[in-house]
Amino acid sequence: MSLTIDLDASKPPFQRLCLVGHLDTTTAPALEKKVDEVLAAKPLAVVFDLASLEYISSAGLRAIFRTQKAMHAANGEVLIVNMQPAVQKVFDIVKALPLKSVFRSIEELDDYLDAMQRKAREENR
Amino acid sequence: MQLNLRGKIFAYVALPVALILGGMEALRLQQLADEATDSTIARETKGVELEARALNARLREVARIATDTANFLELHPEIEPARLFDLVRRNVAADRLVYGAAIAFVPDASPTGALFSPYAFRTSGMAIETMDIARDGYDYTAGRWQWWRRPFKLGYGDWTDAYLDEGAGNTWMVTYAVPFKREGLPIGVATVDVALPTLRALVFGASEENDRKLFVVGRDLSMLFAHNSADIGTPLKTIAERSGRPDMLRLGREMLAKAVPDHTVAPGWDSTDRQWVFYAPVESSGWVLGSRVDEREVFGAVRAQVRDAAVGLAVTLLIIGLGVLFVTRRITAPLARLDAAAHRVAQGDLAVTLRAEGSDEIARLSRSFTAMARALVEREQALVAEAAAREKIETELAFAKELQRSMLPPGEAHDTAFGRYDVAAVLEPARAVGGDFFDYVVTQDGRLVFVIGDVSDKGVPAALFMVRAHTLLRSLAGRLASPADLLGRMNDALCADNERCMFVTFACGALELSSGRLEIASAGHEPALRASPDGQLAWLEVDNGPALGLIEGAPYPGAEVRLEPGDALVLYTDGISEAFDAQKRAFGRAGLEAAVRERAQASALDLCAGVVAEVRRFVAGAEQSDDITLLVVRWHGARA
Repeated sequence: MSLTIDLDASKPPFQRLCLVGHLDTTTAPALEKKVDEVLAAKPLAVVFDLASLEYISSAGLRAIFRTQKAMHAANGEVLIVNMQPAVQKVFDIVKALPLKSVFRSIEELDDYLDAMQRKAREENR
Repeated sequence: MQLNLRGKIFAYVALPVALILGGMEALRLQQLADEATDSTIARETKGVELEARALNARLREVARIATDTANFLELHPEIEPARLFDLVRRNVAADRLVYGAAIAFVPDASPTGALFSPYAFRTSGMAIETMDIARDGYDYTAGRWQWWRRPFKLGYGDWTDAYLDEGAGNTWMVTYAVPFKREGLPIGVATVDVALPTLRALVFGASEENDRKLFVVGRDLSMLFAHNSADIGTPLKTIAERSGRPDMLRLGREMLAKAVPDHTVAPGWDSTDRQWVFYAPVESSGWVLGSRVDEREVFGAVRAQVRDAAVGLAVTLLIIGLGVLFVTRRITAPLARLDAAAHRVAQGDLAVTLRAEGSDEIARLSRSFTAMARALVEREQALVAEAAAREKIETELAFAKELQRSMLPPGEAHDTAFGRYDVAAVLEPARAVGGDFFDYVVTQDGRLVFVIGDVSDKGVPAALFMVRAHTLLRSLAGRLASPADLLGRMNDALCADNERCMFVTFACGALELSSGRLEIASAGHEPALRASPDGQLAWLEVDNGPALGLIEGAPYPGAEVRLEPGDALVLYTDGISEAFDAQKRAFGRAGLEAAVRERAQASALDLCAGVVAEVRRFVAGAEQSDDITLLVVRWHGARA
């Protein structure tokens, strides 16, 4: 029962974490540590790609909510893409994820991210 | 054969070195001894040869006198008889070795016409006297004198065998006799006598003679000269018989037969040691001269040399042996200590310190070993400390567990007054303490309020957050308006100071005992299962709010249902629905439905215990992954 975390920071204002395996009590601390590193880069959004996440426990949920809370505090967002049904069910029960932050596909997500980036540029102008 | 290290070093290093060195040295010694022996033999042979030559030369000189006299007489046949006395006197005087000299005539051819033999000899006072042997009528031709007969027989000069001359004071003599002739016929002999005892002083140096026992054997195998003067003139046969040594006679023959110098080894004639006999022929007389030397004497020096070298070799080998002994001791002593230390460590005695001097491999090994023992001690202490710490933590956790459990109400409750409801609950943390909790209370306005909660994660952090949530619940429950209201208040309180985003899924029901009206609200919790006594099941899908502690100000709508008498409500945490078996299959809502349906009419307590037992059976020994909590409320109606 292990978790692999792949970080894709190729698009700087966004940090993408691809989670593979099980996110539970034993693996959540590793994710939290990774997230702390990612947050240090002050991204506009943190994306969790859950395409290969097979299982998530309440400890895993907590790690994701914690990221969400930290990002909201910094006017950022946590976005989730490719959620598998089993994981989706867990999120549904807890009901603590804003609907707008969940995307079914990479395309949807990328569109959103593009829009977000445009908006950020305009604000900076 | 099993050798220890020391034995191996000895066998593989010291022994070959000793063998090679010893072998080489022994070979060298052997050569040394052989060379020394050869050179000694050569020296001794040369010595005896020189002695034989000297004797031969002297004999020739002496014989010459007789020969000259014979020649003279042949050239001067008319010489006056009186002058013949002068002649023999001169012959004696001519050489100190000459004891006596004579001229003897055949009676027919003598100047006197009868037996006539002028003779000169040395007196004891070393004066020379003359006489006529035939005076008093002595017939020298009648005896068996070799000096008379042999020249006639041979026709030339020759030496006689040794004979005892009684007339000359019992002295052993040899005589050289030469015939002289007239008109081709021998008419007499000219002789010179040599007294054998004088050979000692006159031929052989006296001092030399002491060291080397010289002896001369004549053609007749009699002793012409001997170390022991008494033996002079004695036949070798007599001496051999007397000494019980027949080999002496054989030796004499052998010596006489040899034409060149030689040597032989024989048991000592007059010594317990073996004797070497070096000998050389005395040509002119046909004698042989021998020299007996004790082996000890002749080879003593050689032997001493060999012995010294052998002692040296032995000392060298001893030093090598002692050196190896010392070195192996130095090498193996620390190893033995190491071995002993290892035994002690193996038996659990870790207080081991090894002495280690120097920086060789063994010293390093010893130091490493000591360090290892230290490390083991430290490890053991660390383990003990760790065990103690763990025990302390476990004690604390056990206490915490007790404390946590004591915060919750009993696992079973009944409406003792009216029999309207039963409540049963089971809580089994996955670890010592957990984040699940349940509670129930009957309010003053006649409602049974019951809750079930599941804090995210498990263990101590979950337990602490559970305490926070539960305490909050207790403080708010008394002023409860509705479950939805309770959830909202609790959520707002828990959202504060919750940096780590701990959350709790939570469900709350408020059952009006008089009517069966149930208000229920859920904060991200699994829906409750409603079971009718006839086995009909229904999930109470409530409009959910988010789990408590995550979204401040979140709304919790709540719902209202009406229970029929006998209906049971089953609330649970995901420890039940997500109990996994060994194949990673979840118990799931389906498993729960089946377990509940089977016990639709059972008491709350039996229903609760039965479901938990089903879950247990299902996981079949697989590790409990999450806290398990099951809460069952059965409403029997307004009154029983």
